[in-house]
Order: sequence, then C-alpha cells, then structure tokens
Amino acid sequence: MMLREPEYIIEINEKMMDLQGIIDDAGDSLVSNLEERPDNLKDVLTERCKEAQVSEELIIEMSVGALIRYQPFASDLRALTVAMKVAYDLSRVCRYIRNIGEVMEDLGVDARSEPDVLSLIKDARTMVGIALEAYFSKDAKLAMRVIKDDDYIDDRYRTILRKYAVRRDLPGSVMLFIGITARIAERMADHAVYISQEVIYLTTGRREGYR
Amino acid sequence: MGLLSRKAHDKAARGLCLLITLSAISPLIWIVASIIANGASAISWEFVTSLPKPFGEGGGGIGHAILGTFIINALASVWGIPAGILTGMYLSEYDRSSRLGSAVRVAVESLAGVPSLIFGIFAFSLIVLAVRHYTALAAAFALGLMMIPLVAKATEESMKVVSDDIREAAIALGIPKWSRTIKIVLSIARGGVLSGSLLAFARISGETAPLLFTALFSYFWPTSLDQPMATLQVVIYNYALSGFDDWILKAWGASLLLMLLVLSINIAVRVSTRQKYAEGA
Amino acid sequence: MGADVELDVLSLNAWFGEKQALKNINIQIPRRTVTAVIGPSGCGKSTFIRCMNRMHELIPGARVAGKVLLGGEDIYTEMDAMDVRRKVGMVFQKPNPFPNMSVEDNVVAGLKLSGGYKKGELGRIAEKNLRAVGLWDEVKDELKKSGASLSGGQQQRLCIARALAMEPEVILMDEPTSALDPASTAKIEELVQKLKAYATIIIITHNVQQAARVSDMTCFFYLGEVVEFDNTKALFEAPKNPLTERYITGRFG
Repeated sequence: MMLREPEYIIEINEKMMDLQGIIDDAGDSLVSNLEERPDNLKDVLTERCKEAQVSEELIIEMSVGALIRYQPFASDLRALTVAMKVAYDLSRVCRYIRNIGEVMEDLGVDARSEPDVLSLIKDARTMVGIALEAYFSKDAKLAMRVIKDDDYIDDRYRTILRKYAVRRDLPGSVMLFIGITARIAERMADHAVYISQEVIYLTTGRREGYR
Repeated sequence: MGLLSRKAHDKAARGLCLLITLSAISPLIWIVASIIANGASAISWEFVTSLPKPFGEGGGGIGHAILGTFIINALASVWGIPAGILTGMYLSEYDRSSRLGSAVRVAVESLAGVPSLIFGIFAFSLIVLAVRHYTALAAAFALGLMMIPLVAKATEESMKVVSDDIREAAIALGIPKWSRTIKIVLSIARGGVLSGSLLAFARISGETAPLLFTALFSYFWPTSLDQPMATLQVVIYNYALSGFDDWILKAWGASLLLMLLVLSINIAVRVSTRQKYAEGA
Repeated sequence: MGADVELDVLSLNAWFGEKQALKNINIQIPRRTVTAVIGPSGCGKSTFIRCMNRMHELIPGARVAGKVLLGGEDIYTEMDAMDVRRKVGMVFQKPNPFPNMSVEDNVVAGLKLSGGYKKGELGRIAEKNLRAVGLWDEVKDELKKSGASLSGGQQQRLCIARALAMEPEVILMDEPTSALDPASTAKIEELVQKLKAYATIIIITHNVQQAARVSDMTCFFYLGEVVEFDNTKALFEAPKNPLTERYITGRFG
C-alpha cells in the first residue's frame, strides 16, 4: 500500500539517518571495546546531545513546513507525524546515553567492567537500531519483533536488580552504578518500543498500545 | 498602394456607403415628410371626434374609424396574443425536438409569410359568408391570426434564451412544470414577449386587405361587434380614391394618425429594449 | 442503525443511454451528517446525487434501476417525483437565483410556486432562512432588490436559503463553491457544518482539502463505484483502499 515517497519525506529521513549516526557515535564512545575511551567522556556526550537536539528540531521544522505547504493526507500525513515523534525518541535515547556517561564519571566506574549491565546497554542499543531499520524500511513485522523483545529486556532488568540487591561484597558506587544504569538501559529499550509502535502506525494506520 | 492613396480609398468607400444608405432611407423620409406636411392641416378636434358629414358638406371627421381601429385591434390582440404566447411556450418548453413540434414550427413560420389578403379571404369564407354580413368579428379573427406567428416567434425566442440553470433550480425545488413555465420562465422572458406583441400590434395596424373582406366600412359609430366597422386603413383607402379634395385631405389626416400610431409603438419597443440592456438584465 | 439512516441506497445503477454511469451502489447515509462525495471527473458523483432527487431521469435517454429509501420509502416507486424534490433539495455549482424575483421572493419561491403555505407567513419564513445562512444582516435593507443583483457568494447563500425554506430532509450540493472566490468559499464552508442542524447534507467537491474541512463522512467514487465510504478523519488519516490513498494524496493520473 506504500506509494512513492514525496521529496519532502525523503529529505526528512536523510536528517533522521544523520540523527541515528549521532546517537551511534555517542553509544560507541560509551561502550566500544575497540576504541580508546576518551578522557572527557562527559563533554563528548554533551556535544553529541546538543547535535542530536539540533537535529531533532530541524526534523520538526521540516515536518511542520511540509504540513503547511502540502497539507498532506493518509500515509504522507502519517509519515510527518511519525517523523516528529521518532526524532523526539532518538534525542531522548541520546540523553540516556549521556546520563549513563555522567553516572560513570560521577561514580568513577567503567561500564566495561560490569558485563551484566554492559550487555543490557548493548542490547538496548541494538533494539533501537532494529527499530530504526524497521522505520526506514517500513517493515511492520520487524517492528513487532522489537515490541516483543522488550519483554525479554524487562526480565533481564529485573533479574539484574534481584541479583545485585542481595550482594554485600561490592562497593556502593558499583551498586549504584549498576542500579541506575540498568534502569536507564531499560528506558532506552522502551523508546525503541515507542519507535516500533510508530512504525506500525505508519504502515497500517492503526495504533497498537499506548505510551 | 501608398498611404495617401489608401486613405483616399477609405474615404471614397465610406462616402459611397453613406450615399447608398441615404438613398435607401430617403423614400421613407419623403413619405413621412409628405404625410406630415399634407396631413397636419386636417387634424382638429372635430376631425378626431365626429362622424363624416354627407357628400358636399365640409367638416365632419373620422372619429368612428379611430374607434373602430382600436376596437378591432384590441379584439384581435385578445385572441391573437394569448394564442401566440401559448404556441411559443409550447415550442420552447414542451416540445423542442419531436415531429409534432417541428410540424408546428413549420406551420407557424409559414403563417408568417402568408399575404394578408389570404387571411382576409379565409375569414370572409369562414365567417362573413356564414353569417351573411360583414362583421368586425371576422376582422378581429383575421388580424388575430396574423399576430400569432409574430408573437409565437418572439415568445419562443425569448423563452429559449432563459438559461437552463434557472429551469434546473425550479425543478430542484419541486415546482410543477406549468408553474415554472409561466411564473418563472415566461416572467423572465416577458420583455421579449411584450416587444413581440407590440410589434405584432403595429403590424396589424397597417393591414388593409383583410379589412376589406371582413369589417368593410361604415359611416356610423360602432354599436355592436357583429357589424361592419370603419377603420383608419379603409378610410384612407376609400377617401384617397374618392376624388373629393376634402376627403383626400382627410385621408392624409388619417394617414398621419396611423403613422403616428405605428411609429410610436416601434419607438416604444426600441426604447424599452435598450433600457433592459442598459440595466444589465 | 435503522433509525439513524437518512438515505438507504440499494443496488443503485444508472445509465446515460448505453453507457453505465453508476454500478451497483450500496451505501447508507447517516442522518444529520455532512457527507462529502469525492472522486476524479466523470466518476459518477454528479449522477449519483441526481439520482437522490430524481433529476437524473429528466435527461433524455437516462435510466435508473435500484432502490433509494428516504425515511424508509422508495423515492422511485413509493413517492411522487415533485414530492421527492421538495424533500431533497439541491444547490448547484453556478448560483442560480431567479432574476425576475426579489431577494425575499427568491427565498420563498419554492413555497409560493408549489403551494402549501400561509400567505402572511412568507416574510417571516424568508427572514428565518436568510438568518440561517448568515445573509440577513447583509441584505435586510435590500430585500426587494432582484435576486440577481447580489454578489456571487451572496447569490449562492441565497440559493441555499431557498432550498432550506422548503424544510427538506436532505440538501444536495453539487460543488457549491467552485465558482466562488476564496472569501465566499470560506463562508459557505462554515455554513455547511451549521446546516447539519436542519438537514442531512451531501456535498460533491473536487477539492480534497475542502472535503476534509467540511464533512463528517467521506465517500470516494471511482468509475461509477463506491470505492470507500468512511468517517472523514479515518479515511483521511489511514484510507483502507489503495485507490483512495492514491487519490487523496494526489497521485492520480
């Protein structure tokens, strides 16, 4: 049922891809094993977040401009309202990444030394990536997968909490780090779900579940 | 061709056109002028209101003929105009394309071309012979018949011009056909219908031949419709050929009156239609 | 559902001579709503609404088959044509007030000319309907002037008042604003939603945005068939039929 995309939507999606690049960079800075962790992680991440926000605002501008100029209907209209929501979700994801970096620096803990939490963060990032893939290729099935996988993330989050709640041998900073960061990662996964719900709305016109 | 020569040609052409036009209307001007010149002196109160005096005596008038003309014309209009309007209405609204409609249209158009003498003879054989005397009723019949094609044509044309949008609006309101034909379409077309009727009236005012076979003539005031009646046209005919100077003068006077009647109707029609367009109907 | 249906169209087919203009139309128009009828030129929209007030059959060679129930009665077999037109009014693309009548007389023309009114009432009826279409203040000092002396937008509102005065169940509108300037168009669009209080409205428009602005339900016609008929917001947000999607996003032709 999808028709040839209008120019204005293609341009908006190019900006969306840029935004995806920004949050990928930010995430990489945070957890990449292949790269040197930069000394000024907080500054780098703050910089990325600013860029993400600028990008989000640009996408909203372009969408509103298209609404005014073209007064579109049906899938064209949905493409614009969805683009605005997805841009917001992505800039939140960037914020969460920055928050994790801040917690790391503030508590002096390196995420790479906490495998449970690290894998949760990586999985949340992957989910966001898949949700975006579903968005760009308008794949409702892929989007449904992300929504289902969220249950799995939720379980792992709760497992981590239960596991560490009873340990007495770790320093307080590490415990705090694990608790806070796991929660943030779970929220990141939630936003991947929101993006997927928008993809379903975009492709079918139906709303599945609420935020 | 040089510019000067072209200008000269242009002027010459224009001059020629003017000349020809003048020569075409000059007889009309000459007629009108001579009627006025000769007839003016005959007009007087007595002329217009009294009966003719016997041969040899001067004075008297053609009051009976003036009255007779109006009576016969009015009577003719009473039946000719409605019949014409109904025919025109039928052709425009009820039957634009069937065989019967075409037949009626052909009949109406042919009727317009029939010489007035024929109408007179027709009325003569139909009525005068049947009742065994000349009668104004026959005249009214013949003249009314002559009015029908003119009025029908004018009515049909004026009604056809009314936009179909108007008819659609009336139909959509659930207005029955007869009501919308008369109260809306005919009402909008009334200017044209009126003009047509006036022109038809002017036309019959000028016809003499049918009167000779129907109303003939009289020297008395009309007392009933079913008798011979004097008319301006026949007065002119009789008096002009009479050989009496006095009567010939009266014929000029009658001609003047008749011409004024016809001219004023034509002018009135012109003025009213020009007004209509000026307002932007 | 039954009590809420104004017009129940069942297996409606219509022809112009040999050419079939409407193919098996089956829809129920809900009472007191505004339904927009959209679709490309020549798809049968005009034919459809002219079947709703029995004006299609007036065209030489035209034919209609099927049922159209107005309040449960079939307008073709159980009602007289004049009656149908009094109950189903129509406003045309080009405003057509009667030029030989005053503004006031135009409003009540339908009542006057088809009988069934009380003489003293006409002035009151004219005022009521002129107020309903928002014309009263503009023309109250010029009631006796010819209907044709008003501006285009005013003439069209006069035509609407004229249709309204018949107290119809349904008012059909065939592209009522296409011959008007933007300001008049806006006034009439505003009016259309208000008219719902008086009658069920069916409005043809070739302007998709206008349909989105003024209607509660939208019906998309293509090649003589109803392709989709749905609540306006739903149809414009997420049409179910790909043809509808193509048409309303302007990708037709």
